[in-house]
Amino acid sequence: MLNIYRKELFTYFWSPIAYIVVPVFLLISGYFFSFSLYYLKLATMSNAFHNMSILLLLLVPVMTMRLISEEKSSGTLELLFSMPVSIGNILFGKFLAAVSLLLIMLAGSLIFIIPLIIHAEPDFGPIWAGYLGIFLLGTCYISIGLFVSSLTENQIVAALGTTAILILFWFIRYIGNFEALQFINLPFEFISTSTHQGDFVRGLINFSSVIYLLSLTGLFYGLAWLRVHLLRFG
Amino acid sequence: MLDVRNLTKKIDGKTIVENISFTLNEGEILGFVGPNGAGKTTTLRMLACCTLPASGNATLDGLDLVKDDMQIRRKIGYLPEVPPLYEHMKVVTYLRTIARFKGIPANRQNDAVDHVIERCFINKMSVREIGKLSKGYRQRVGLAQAILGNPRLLLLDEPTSGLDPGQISEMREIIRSAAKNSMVIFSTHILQEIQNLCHRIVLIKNGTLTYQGRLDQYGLADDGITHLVLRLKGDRKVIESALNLEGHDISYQLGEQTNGSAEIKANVQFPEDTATQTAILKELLNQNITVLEVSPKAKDLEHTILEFMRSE
Repeated sequence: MLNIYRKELFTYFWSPIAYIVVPVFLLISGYFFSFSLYYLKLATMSNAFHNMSILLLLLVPVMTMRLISEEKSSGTLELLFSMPVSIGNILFGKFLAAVSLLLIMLAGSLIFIIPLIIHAEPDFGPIWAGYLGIFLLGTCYISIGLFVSSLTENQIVAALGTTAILILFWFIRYIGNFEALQFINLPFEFISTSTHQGDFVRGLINFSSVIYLLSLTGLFYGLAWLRVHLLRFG
Repeated sequence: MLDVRNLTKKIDGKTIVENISFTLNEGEILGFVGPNGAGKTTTLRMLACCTLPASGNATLDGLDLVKDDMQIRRKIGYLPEVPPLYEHMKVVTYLRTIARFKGIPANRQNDAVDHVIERCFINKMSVREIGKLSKGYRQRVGLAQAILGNPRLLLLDEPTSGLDPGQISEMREIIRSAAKNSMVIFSTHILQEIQNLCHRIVLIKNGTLTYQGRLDQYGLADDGITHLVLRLKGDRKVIESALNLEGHDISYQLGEQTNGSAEIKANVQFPEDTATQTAILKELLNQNITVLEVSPKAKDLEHTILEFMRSE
C-alpha cells in the first residue's frame, strides 16, 4: 500500500495537478476570506469554510480524475494486477495520496488564522469544527472521484462525472422545494452534503453528520473496490 | 513446472478460451501461435492473474493460480502487448517502483534494477523520461520490468511486434538469456521468432488449442541440426547406401516408393555442416541417383501454420 501511495504522491507532484490545485484553492479561498474579514468585517472562518466546500466541488474532480482511469488507459492496471499488490492496497494507496494532497491544501489555509488572531480574538472551537467538516467532506468527495475514475478510461469524463455527482449531492436538498417533485418521498435534506457541511461551518460537530459523511465515503470507496474487482472478471 | 488444465474464459457469456491444457517445464520456451482474436492474449492474461478463469485451473510449482494468486504473482513477469509504462517517470525510477511493487527486498532493489538495465541494454536511457523514448526502447523497458526479480514464469505478449530487425535480434537475445532462469511463454505472429526461440509451440484457434508439440518435430528448433527433405529418383538400396556415408553423422528416414514411380522422399538430419550436405549430394550423384528436390524442412512448419491460420 505504501508503495502505491508513494507512487501516487510522486505523480501528483511530478504533474501540474498539485501545482495548480493547491495554489488555486489557497488563492480563491484566501480572497473570499480577506473579503469577509476586511470588507464585511466578519472575524470568523465560516464564510471561508463555505467557500472552500464549493471550491472542492471543482478541484477534487481534478485531483481524482486520473487515479484509476489513467492506469486503465495506459495498461498499467493490468501490470498492477499481475503483481503481488491487492486491489485493497491499490485503492487505499491512491485514496490516501489524494487525502494527503487535501491535507496539504487545508494546512496551507491555516495561515488565514493569523490575521484573525491579529484583528480579533477568535473562538478556536468552531474553527477546528469547520476544519473537521471540510476534511470529512473532502475525503467523501475523493471517494466519489475514485469510484467515477474506475468507471472510465477517459480522464475528462471522470472529472465531469465526478463534478456532476458532487453537485448533485450538494444541491439535492433543494429538490424538496419544487412542488412538482414533492411526490418523491426521500429525505433530500439529509442526503445532501451541504446540509451536513452547514453544521460544521456553524461550529457544530453533529454526530449524525460525521457518521453520514464517513458512510458516504465508505459507500463510494466500496463501490470503487467492487468495480476494480469486477475488472478482473472481464 | 507450469501445469495448465482446462482453462476456460467467458466474457459476457461468450467463450473466449475453452479448455486449454498444456504443461511447461524448466528452461523451456513455449510459443503461442494463432490468428488475431484466437485467445492467446486472454490465456496469457489469465496466467498473469490479470483476469480470472471461468473454469479450469493452472498450477505453478504446485501453487494454485486462483487460490494462491498473491504467491503466484511473486513468481510471474508479464509484458502485455502494449508495454505498461508510467510515461512521466524516468526509466530507473519506473524500474525501482516496479521492484517495490514486486516485493523485492529494499537492500536488493538497486542491484536488481541495475542488473535488468544492463541485460536489456538500456544503460544510456536509464535517466531519460519514458514518454520520450522510442518504441524499441519502450519495449525494452517493458521487458526489463517483466524480468525484474528473475521471475519463474515469464509471459510475453508479442514482445517483438513493431520492432526493426536490429531491435528484434536484441530482444531475442534478451529473451533467450532470460529463459536460462525462467520458463517463458510468448505469443507471436512472426514465424521466424518461433524458429529462433521456441522449444515447443501451442497453436490456438477460436479459443481452443488445436495443436501442441515440440518444434524439432518440424526440424525447426534452433538445435544445431540441419533437417533436409530430399526428393530422389533411383533404387531404394542404392539410396540407402549413399546416405550411409562413412565419416558423417547422418540419420535419415525414407518414405514409401509410390506405385509406378521410382520417386522416394527422404528426411535427412545431420549436424549443421555444409561439408556433410555437399558430401551427401555428391555421393547421390556418384551413385546415379537423380536429385529432384532439396528443401529445408522449415517449410513444413510455415505451411502447417499458414494452413492452420487460413483454415475455417
